[in-house]
Amino acid sequence: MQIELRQLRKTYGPAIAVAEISATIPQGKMLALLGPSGCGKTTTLRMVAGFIAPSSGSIHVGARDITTLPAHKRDTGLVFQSYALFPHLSAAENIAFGLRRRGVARAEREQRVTAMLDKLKLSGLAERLPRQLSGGQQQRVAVARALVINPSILLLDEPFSNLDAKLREGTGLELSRLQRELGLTSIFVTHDQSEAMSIADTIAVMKDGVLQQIGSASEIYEQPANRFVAEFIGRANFLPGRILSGDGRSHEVALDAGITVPAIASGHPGGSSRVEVLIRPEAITLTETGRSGSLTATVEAISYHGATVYVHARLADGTLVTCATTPESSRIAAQGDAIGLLPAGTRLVSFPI
Amino acid sequence: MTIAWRSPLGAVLLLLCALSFAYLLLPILVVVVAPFGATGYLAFPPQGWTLKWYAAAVSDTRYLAALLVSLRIALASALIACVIGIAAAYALTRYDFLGRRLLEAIFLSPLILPTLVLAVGLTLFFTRTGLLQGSWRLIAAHVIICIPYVLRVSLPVLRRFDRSLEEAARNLGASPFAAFFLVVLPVVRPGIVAGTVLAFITSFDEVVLALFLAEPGAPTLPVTIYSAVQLGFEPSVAAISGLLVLATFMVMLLYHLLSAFRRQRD
Repeated sequence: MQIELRQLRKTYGPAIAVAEISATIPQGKMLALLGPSGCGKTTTLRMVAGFIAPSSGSIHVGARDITTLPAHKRDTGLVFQSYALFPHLSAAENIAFGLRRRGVARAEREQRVTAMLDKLKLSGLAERLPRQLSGGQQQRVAVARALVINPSILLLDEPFSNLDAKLREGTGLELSRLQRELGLTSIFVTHDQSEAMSIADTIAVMKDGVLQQIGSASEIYEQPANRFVAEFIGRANFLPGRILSGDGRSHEVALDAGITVPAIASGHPGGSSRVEVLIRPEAITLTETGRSGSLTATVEAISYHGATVYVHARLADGTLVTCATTPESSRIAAQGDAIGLLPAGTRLVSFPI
Repeated sequence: MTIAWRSPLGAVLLLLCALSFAYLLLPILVVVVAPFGATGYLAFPPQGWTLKWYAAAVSDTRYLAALLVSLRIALASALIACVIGIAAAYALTRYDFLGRRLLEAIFLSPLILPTLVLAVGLTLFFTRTGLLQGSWRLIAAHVIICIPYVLRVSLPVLRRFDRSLEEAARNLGASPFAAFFLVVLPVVRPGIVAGTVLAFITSFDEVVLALFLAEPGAPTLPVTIYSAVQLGFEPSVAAISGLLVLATFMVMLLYHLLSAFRRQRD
């Protein structure tokens, strides 16, 4: 079912937890609420789950306004960050809990629990207590418990943050596959941008209770609404400059570092002609020094990450620029060398200072 | 922790430990062993061996009747204190309201209030108002002094309780009431059982309130023993105490065997 948040707001006295958030998540899609801790993402999720009453605004699931509905009547599946498995119940009993509350008859209950155990590869572990399961198994029980009740929406509160890196990616993809397969509309809270980008259809970036930008992963990465979003998603270099010419949407910027680049305008330039230009590390090509349109820099450090090599180079004015390149292309750079940095002609975004 | 017995400090510690335990346990040993003596007064070490005094204690119907009264009152007090204590502990840990700290202090105050003051006050209160009849007066009094024990044990357990478990239950369709009984209570049960056992023991060997408030015709066991001691220290009184020690020991043993069995099963 479609989820709609309308001007949702939560304040505690003078403190603002969520300033105002509006978002529509179409049937079967996943929205990631992304931001640093304290940005209001968890508060938003808890308002949807019914654990926190919003100060104003409303929450709609399908055609129904659930703003004042108590948590136990909301029919939402929630996977907790700590998993919150009942320690006194076995894996199977944990999964059956929601079915029991719904008065599902024993035969059907057992059949649905078994099917869910199979689906999440937990078959041999039905009788284990949570403390006898590994972290990954506990996480799968938590997911099974949330899914078995066929909830109208699925809520995920940092479900992977307690898993180790290797397990995280596989589990993320698996969960995303299940969510698509079941056509569940879902909200996913995370502080990990790569997690959000890999499994969510839409990402809402939040900071200090304020929604900064909402859009697809590529929109947010390529056209960030402001400097915070640009820095939070991926790596970013910012070079200051002055607008030479152009309309409100794109313009030519003369960088203080000495070259002129085209850039897409983000936000309103206001009266100022001073801007900062976002250049993603992968938008920079390494070249020999002196090539036209390139910046000259000194290589400070090279960090090797397998498929990608990050070259950190310092410009004459002291600004450190990070370039992402392939191992082959990185061979022309050596620590201490002077090198040319050639920004790509497109995909540069300017922000007013 | 291991202590190096050979070092001078270790030897001193060992000696201190042994002395403390002897100080705590020897009186109990005296009470258990002395009634085996054939003399008509308590002597330690006992002179001659007889089961006469133990037999006298067991066959004395006053003690048996008093034991039943004590068990009944202790059981009722512990259960009522358990229910009130858990409800109070839940409210004190879950909700933040004006006067919360004051209320917590009031609930725990019977621990520091002299029992005698409470006994006199309650006796006056019950006779003036005519409230409660029979053994319920003593039960009510014991509930007051038992609540702090339940509260002291269940407050930290409930404070440590992971609230997301309760939320998970609510999320899965359990009403607040159902979430409490299906999730909160089973998870914190060990703490609650411990608190209730403490309450039971507190009520079972309480003398002062029982002296003032017990039904005239049905004194509790501690009161009966107390009166018997005042009349003359017969060895049968010590024999009753010896039997109580034995019963306590059996209960402890059973409890440990049960928990060992449970650990093995997990």
